[in-house]
Amino acid sequence: MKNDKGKYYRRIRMAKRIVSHLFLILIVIFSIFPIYYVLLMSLSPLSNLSQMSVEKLIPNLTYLTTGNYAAILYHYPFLTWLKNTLIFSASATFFGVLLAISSGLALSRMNIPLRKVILYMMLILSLFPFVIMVIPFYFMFSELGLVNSYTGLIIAYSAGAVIFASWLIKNYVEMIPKDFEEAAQIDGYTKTGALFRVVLPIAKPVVIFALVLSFMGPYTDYALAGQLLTNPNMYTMAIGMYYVSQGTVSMNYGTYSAFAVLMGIPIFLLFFAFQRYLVSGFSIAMYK
Amino acid sequence: MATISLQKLTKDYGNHKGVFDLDLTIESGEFFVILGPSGCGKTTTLRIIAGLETPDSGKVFLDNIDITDYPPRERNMSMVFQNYALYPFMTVRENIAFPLKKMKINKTDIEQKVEEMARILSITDILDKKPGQISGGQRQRVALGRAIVKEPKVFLMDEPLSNLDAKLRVGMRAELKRIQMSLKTTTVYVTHDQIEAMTLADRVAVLNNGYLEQLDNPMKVYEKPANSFIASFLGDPPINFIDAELEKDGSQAFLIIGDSKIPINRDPGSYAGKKVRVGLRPEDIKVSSKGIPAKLTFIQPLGRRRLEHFKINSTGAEIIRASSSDQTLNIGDVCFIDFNEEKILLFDKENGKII
Repeated sequence: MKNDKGKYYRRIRMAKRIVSHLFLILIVIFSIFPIYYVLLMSLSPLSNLSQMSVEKLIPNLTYLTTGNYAAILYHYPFLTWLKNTLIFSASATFFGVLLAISSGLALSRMNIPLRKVILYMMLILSLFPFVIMVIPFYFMFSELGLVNSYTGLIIAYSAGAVIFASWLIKNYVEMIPKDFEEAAQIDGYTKTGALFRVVLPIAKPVVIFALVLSFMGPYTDYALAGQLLTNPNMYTMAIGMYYVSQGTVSMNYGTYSAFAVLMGIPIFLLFFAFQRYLVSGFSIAMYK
Repeated sequence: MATISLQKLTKDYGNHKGVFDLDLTIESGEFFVILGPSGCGKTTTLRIIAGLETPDSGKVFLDNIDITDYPPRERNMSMVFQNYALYPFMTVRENIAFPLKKMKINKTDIEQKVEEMARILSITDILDKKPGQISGGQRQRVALGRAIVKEPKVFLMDEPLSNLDAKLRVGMRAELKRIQMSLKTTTVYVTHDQIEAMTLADRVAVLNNGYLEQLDNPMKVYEKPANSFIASFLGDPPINFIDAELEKDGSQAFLIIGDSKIPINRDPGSYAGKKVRVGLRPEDIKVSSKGIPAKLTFIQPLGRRRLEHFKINSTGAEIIRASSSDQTLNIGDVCFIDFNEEKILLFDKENGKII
């Protein structure tokens, strides 16, 4: 006897699989296309968007050029900008996350006065976009003589990083059973010692996630750096990018794209290296 | 070797949670079990001894030194947690060595102690694995190793066997007892499992709602429970309770259960003519030619033993009898259930206290 019902359900299953795969392929194309487009633009001699057409989406090898890259690397102080950006990002990450570790551990594990008030303040502050702080920062820093200085921007960036990094670390540490640090206390450590010796290593995934995100903020910032830095030797890549691609008549999208690719490489490497932690980090960030 | 003494210990969490006015002395080298249902205050007591909680009032003494305000690290105790609390980012070797690192012991000695511990607990082959890569039973051994290796004055154990499957638990129970007997380290063990209390304890303290209900050796607590709560908490299958009335007829006392009148050799004293609760252990019930008429309603075979559920004809009360499997009674049979009068326990119906 033929099993028609079984066959029917097998077909349904197959159809569902095809549809879901098609859907996934579509999403992949949708997310990869901008990257492809930027890569293509960076290698093409076109100077502006009006020269772009659909057929040119398929690369023609005789036509591609590395001229845009050469222009950036040889005609502009790209390496200085890269160095500046790395100094700002790394310092802000270091100080921001260092503070966030202490405050995250304290907010989750210690009986600190005004704990609730602090938490609400953090939550409210994180609702404001960073851009609205540009003008207050500018007035404050010009009073203090911190415009056009490494110190000024590093303070501003660290402050931006510390809020959400503390929040992330606090949430993660709250999910770690207290038994670990209690065991360490019985085994000879002080309460603070136990937090750093035992809880912090367990929280490693979220700390790395916080490190990467804190790095990303200053690395890509344009608004604040654009206001506080006027000396071209202090420029970061984001400002350099704008400066370089500014043509006489219109934006030079070839140079702009090449710059974007160069700027993206360190971030790409960073994500690649810490992929494992970022996946769990993102799921924690979504969780609470 | 160390004596722990708790004096008037109180920790009130509100809602009748915590411990109240607890006085206890745990003798040196003793295996001391604190038994009670969840929320009875047993873990709180253990955590106060460990220094992880501060009591609202009262004192903790270790060898006559008041350690109430000492931090955990100054108490020279080790603790085994319910979920072991092995540090997940360290190997088994590092976990066991962890408490030694703060003790100013040189590296080779630490290494030696860890190896020896691993040998005793048969975990040599997993020393370089992480806790996530080993089984529950192995984790339990590692947790024990970490507790034993620093040779503390006191072992504290918070339901250490409750996460193991039944078979493993029986094995670990025996091993735990063996280790404690050879080390003779004072041990405070918290559990809600009466079998663990019965098998492990030199003495057992039964806690309920934060108050100490009884303190004695486990057999005494089983045979002479202070009240019906303890009677019901100890024993598997649990004790049967039957409502009855005490009556005195001249110099003879009787127990009236439904329409059965059973003579007993006890002086009912002020309870004559009053309602009481009779506690009857399942293993003390006999089927006989005289006694209380009852019907067998259900049988649970357990291999060599079986549990027979009876319904008393006159009152409808259900009681369970534990018997050997070679019994010939079948479901639906009506018989007489009888008991050795010395074995029955009588409780005040109002406050549950033993009479």
